[in-house]
Amino acid sequence: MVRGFYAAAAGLFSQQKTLNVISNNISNSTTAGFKTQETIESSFGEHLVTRLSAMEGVSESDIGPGAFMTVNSSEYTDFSQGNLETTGRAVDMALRGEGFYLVESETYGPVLTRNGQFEIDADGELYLPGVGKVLNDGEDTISLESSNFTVSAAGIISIDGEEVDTLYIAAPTEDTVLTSVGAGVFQCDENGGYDQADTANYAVQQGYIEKSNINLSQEMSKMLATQNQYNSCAQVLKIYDTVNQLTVTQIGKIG
Amino acid sequence: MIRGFYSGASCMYSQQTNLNTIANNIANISTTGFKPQNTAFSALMYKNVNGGDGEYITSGHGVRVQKTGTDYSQGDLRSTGMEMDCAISGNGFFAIEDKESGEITYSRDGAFELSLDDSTRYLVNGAGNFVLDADEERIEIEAETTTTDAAGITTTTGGFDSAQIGVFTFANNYGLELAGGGQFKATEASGEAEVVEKPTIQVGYLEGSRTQLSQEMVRMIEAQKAFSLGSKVVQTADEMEKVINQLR
Repeated sequence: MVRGFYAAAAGLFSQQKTLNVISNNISNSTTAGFKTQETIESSFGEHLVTRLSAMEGVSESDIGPGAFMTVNSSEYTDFSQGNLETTGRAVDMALRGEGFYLVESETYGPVLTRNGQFEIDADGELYLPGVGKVLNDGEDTISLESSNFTVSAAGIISIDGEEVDTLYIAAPTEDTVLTSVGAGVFQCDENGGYDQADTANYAVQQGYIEKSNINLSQEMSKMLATQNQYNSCAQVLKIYDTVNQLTVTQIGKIG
Repeated sequence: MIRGFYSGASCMYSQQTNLNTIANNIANISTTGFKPQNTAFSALMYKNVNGGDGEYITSGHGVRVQKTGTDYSQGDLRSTGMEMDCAISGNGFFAIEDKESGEITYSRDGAFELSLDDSTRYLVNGAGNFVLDADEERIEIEAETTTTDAAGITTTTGGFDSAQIGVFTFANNYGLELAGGGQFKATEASGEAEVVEKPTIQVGYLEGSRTQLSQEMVRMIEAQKAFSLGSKVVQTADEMEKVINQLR
């Protein structure tokens, strides 16, 4: 088969995957603490293409690398700050600046999140619905007697002016790769970890939530580009198909 | 099918719920003691975009509504001039006993009236359910009588006194369950109702709705835009499927 046939097919696959990522970003345009994701497409291995010719001087001279296929090779998450929106609820907290809340997930252990829409459960412990208990600076759960509490910029929780607990604001250590594991939470890779963030670098704002940081116009144009690219790949595929058809039916035809 | 199709659909579903919440807030713009809600979203699970093996690139599956949260901030007090209208200033709820089931619910709506049961007059709310005192007993209102003694000093007994009304708070307001009709129910998460000593009840005032129209309008525009973008995603995914179907 013609090599370009597979290259076009690979293009279709990778555009499909790109669309999945874009559509996830768009669906989460109103999710608190959501961070935009993007995939990076690159060629699948690179091959040295050599020219074949009867002439000795030209034959087997390198004409540079040629890419055969495209794959989604990596991704990155845009961790820039989202806008803050007021909710008037004491249990909603937004983070300004660096850092993440530390939440104990039942499935993944301690995970990081920017989503501060907490609740207080029947045992009086602060938790993130759907994920788990919020952890304090001693990596323990936070018990609150009342929902009538205040949180300082440094994350210190007080009830009636008395300090009760302090939120763990985690900053990933250098070279840590954060992986999304669902519901807006991130997990550190094996080689990395997190530390308590410097109080100068963040501010907790009670009664606010951090909105998603997605840029709708950007997502929209990326979606259009993806669709066009997809259509082009499909068109190329069609052309190859016609070429193959001609090869099969026309070449060597007598009369 | 392309997964983006379903992510887009999940976006449309959740924005519908969001719009329902916003519509309810706006509809209750003049409901006494109304507390608006907001919708919280959560991303769905993530998995490797390239299948089981290969480079680990996560990609999500869309969004869902995680919960709705209620904003219990104080609404504005407005003067009505009615002598049995009460508004709580600060934290707390009135306790209301259902006239049929006897179930106790809590409310910020203080538009009270008198109701005659046999020959006893009780303090009731707009729906005819009993308002309770600090001991969770019904409040009997005796007819107001004014007597003037020999020395010419007039004393008034009976009548409505706002001090009789019980006000209760909860350890965790956010754990209360919404029961409709401006009523809230205690749950395990909210904790037991606790009596407030010397609550501040403003007589002749009602607490207005907490809904802030400008904020709701902004949220509505946001919900609509998110919805139409979700539908665009569905459309795009659909067109891409169509291209594949027309390859031959």
